[in-house]
Amino acid sequence: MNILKNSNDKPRILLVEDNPGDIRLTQEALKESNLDIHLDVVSDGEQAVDFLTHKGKYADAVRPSIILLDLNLPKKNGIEVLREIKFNDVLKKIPVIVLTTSDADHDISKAYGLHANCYILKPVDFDDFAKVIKLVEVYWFNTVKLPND
Amino acid sequence: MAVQQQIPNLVLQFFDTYAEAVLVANASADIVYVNKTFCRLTQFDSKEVLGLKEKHIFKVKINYHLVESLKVTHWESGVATKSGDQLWVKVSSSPLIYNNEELTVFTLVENPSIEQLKGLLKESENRFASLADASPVMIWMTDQDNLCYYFNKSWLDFTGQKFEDEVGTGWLQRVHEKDLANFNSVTEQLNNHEGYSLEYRLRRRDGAYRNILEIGTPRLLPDGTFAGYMGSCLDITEFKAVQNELANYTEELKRSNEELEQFAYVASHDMQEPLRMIASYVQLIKRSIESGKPTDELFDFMKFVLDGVSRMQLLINDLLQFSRLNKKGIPFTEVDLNEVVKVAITNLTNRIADNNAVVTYTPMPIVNGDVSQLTRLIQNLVDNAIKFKSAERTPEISISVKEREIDYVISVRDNGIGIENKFYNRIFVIFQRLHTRNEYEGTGIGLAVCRKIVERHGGEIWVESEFGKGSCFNFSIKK
Repeated sequence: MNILKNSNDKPRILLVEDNPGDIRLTQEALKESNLDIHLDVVSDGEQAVDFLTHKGKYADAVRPSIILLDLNLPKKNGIEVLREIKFNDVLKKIPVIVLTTSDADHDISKAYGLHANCYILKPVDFDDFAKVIKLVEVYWFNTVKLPND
Repeated sequence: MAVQQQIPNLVLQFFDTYAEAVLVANASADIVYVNKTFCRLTQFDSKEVLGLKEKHIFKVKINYHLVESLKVTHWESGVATKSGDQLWVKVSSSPLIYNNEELTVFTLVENPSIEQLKGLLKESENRFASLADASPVMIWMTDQDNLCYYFNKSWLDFTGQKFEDEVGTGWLQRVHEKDLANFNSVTEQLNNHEGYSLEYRLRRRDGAYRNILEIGTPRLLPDGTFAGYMGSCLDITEFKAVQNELANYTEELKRSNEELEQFAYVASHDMQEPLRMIASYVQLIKRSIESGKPTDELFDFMKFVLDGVSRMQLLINDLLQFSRLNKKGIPFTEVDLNEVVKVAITNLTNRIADNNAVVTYTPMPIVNGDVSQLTRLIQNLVDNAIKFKSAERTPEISISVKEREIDYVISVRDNGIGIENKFYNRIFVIFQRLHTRNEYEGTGIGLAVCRKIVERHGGEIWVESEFGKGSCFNFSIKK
């Protein structure tokens, strides 16, 4: 019972990112983490929504604790994905961390307008990138309390 | 004999102060007295008139009627003046008994004749006509049935027609046939006899159609009845041309501003991304070397660096291509699309061979355009069709043409993976991609370039597709 619960309680991150380079960077950064974090990756907006709503090949997908969301995505962009999450009564409780290269005011304003939980600019070098991932980890998994439902 | 002997001087002096002409005749109709006003009006001296018969003065009597109760008769008559002119007067005559003598007193008031009125009217009309003819504005008038009976000189000079050709509804032949329907828009005002304005094209004497602004105003008689319209027409062709030019410039400015915004967005995202990859992975390589980690990881990291470099190159080339379209291209010339298709296919020889693609085309028309841009357009569409080929089929691409009334539709059809219809519009927007970079390499600029080229040529671009079976990209280009 305890073991099962533990495995279920393993922190899970859903990374919505189309750039293989960024996916690898995130994986590399998480390697340096002390936590045993499970990382799921989807590479476009439609896949992200399908994953969260258990559609098609994602029927068995486990709900993530937090979502790292890029904005510039193929098919359905990050803003559209964010809207679908935050307008869904079940999904809206999952914290969404927008992680993007866009520092455009209208993107930042739109993201918060759609209840993004925070908005982070992708740092330009790996050391800073690893620091950001570490901060996310410390804040969302060690500091705050996340909902259980 | 003279009346002065019969009527006291005082009375006669009194008559002399009258504004009306006064004439007195005796029982045998001999004129016995005329006052000073009569003399002034007829230019006769009283001596020249006295003794004449009354009928010598009043040659005709019309509209004769008697008011029995007052014993006064009214009539109108012409009176000859000394200079030979004819005066028209209203006359009242009444009997007067004085010292048992039966006299008749005539009072005369000048009354303009119909002829005189016609003359006055004519003069007024002439005055209007010369004023209207001197006006640079075209002026016309209609009767109650909206038939034109007057055109000023400017109108006739403009259309180069004679009045007889324009009268009634003749002038409508000068209106552009496609603009005749414009008059329907003012039917309500015409029926209600209200003012109106409308625009239409009118054929000038040199055959050119000019934009006309017509303003019509109802003409009302003094009693308020509708007598027709009076209107003016202004040639506003130049004004409209300036207005259109301004609207075009505004539109152009708006579009170029939007593109600039998109460019700024790109600078902050699409161009930074490969740079960030290069910087991050070079750093990871450094770490890896420092920590003595396995070499396969190093190769992975280097792959990302090289990928970043080539993406950067691709982006810069595509952006350059896109931004060159912003500048005014070379002036349009006659372009044989057969040659354009041939060159585009030649440019893609290696890509076509590498993918075992088959490209066919039907005879193409000759159009007006920018040959290098049209070549780029066809090339991008064929290149796109090859890129999104189906894994199960040999790529087959056919280029065909359909002639429409005012333009041609060129179609580039493929048997590739197709596009879901919800993405039909998004694909033509710069930097919008439907596929991850793992699936299909690209910058999201190719089709944006195509749209821009088509729009520069005054056409439209659209896609029809059956998802999984193939796509057909169409663009229209003016004949």
